[in-house]
Amino acid sequence: MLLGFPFARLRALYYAMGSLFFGIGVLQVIYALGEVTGGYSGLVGIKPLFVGSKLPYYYFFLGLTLASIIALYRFEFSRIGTTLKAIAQSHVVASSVGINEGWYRILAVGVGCFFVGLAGAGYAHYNLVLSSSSFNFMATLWLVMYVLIGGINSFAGPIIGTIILIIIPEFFRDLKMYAPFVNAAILGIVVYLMPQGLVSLPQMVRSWLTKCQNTKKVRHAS
Amino acid sequence: MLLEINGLTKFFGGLAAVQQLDMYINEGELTGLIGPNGAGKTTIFNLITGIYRPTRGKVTFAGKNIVGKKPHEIARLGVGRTFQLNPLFGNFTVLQNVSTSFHLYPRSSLLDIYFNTASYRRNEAYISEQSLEILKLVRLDKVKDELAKNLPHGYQKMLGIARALAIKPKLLLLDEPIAGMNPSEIEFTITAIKKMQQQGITILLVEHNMRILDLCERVIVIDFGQKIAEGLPKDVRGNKEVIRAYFGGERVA
Repeated sequence: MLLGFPFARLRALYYAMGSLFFGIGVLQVIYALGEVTGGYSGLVGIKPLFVGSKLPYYYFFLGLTLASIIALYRFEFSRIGTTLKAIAQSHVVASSVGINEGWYRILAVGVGCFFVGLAGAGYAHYNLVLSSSSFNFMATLWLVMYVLIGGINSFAGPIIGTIILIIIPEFFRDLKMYAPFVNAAILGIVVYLMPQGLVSLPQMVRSWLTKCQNTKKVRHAS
Repeated sequence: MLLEINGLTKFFGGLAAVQQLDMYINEGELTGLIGPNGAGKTTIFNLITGIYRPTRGKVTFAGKNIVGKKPHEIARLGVGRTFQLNPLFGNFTVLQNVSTSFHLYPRSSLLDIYFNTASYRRNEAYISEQSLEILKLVRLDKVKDELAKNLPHGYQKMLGIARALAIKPKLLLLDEPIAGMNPSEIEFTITAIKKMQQQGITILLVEHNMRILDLCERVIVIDFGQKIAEGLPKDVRGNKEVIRAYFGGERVA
């Protein structure tokens, strides 16, 4: 959240560049401070939450996920969520009604980081080893892919994108070496044909169907 | 004096968009700002509301120097405005457009939102009610659930005014409020502006249409970023400088 302050002044592409490169920088710092952070091998010896079966973990994370989704859903459709969307549509108009753009950008980063932190803490107690290699540059890119494929402007989008990108590869484990090509293809197709992501698919099908019906009617008429 | 501008100058590169401008607006007054295209009217609005930072000069609002303040700070002091282009949150409904202006009142905490508490719901209900009240004022309450981008042009312009009104401004800056409207919409907007003035809102408007300028108590004429005339609408119309600025010649219309 502290990072939000310098980054709140950046917009669009510059914000993306700033935060990506900062992520790489943080990794380097972790490697350099080997004594505190364990360097390349990571932190070891974290206490498990549940001993024995993995099943409690499943319910624990399911509960955590559902609670987060409900909280974030309320957040998105609250006054604050609406204000954030207003800034996204036009920050000039938003500031003309007294909305402090910088403050809301910081708030958005803070709320996002809170839930990422929850997930991270849970993950550490599940994996028992916390290594920087599980949070490398690719991990950041995966997050961006989830959001883009699902749909960037909707609440369900990132959730759907994550589910699809995690589940589909499970069915094609034998073809794992081709996964990067397939992912690239999916991303390309979705971004090109459905700029609003997979969530817009039902709506697109509907408008396509009505278009077909209309042309049929025209043919009958003539 | 509600707004006072002294020696206001703004350079874009080597070009002076506004030069040594002095003007004032009294409390409760309806003032018109006119001038040929590119004379610097919208730039003056952007300088008052803090979108641009003046190169030189002073802007005093309600006794406070507001140069260097951010746009949202100036809005919170009570300066509302409308925009000539791109005036709305297009993907919001009409009601949402107005209720966005109430983001300051009342402060709900994140916990209130996460747990959807009674006080949060009460606040939301209050905001919707207030927004609807303002929409009734501009007769947009019947289309409150339409997306703003689907509204006809005249309605969009009125909605822009409604959104600015919702911050309860002391000074309202209207950038061409009736441009592109049909005659009945113009009639309605003029009535609305009169009503706002009666409620004690000070208004500065940019406009080309004479019907609306005749309402003004004072008209300021700008050309090439400088004030060339000021006075009653009927006096300004006969002013030689003004005629030259608009028509180019010495010919008296």
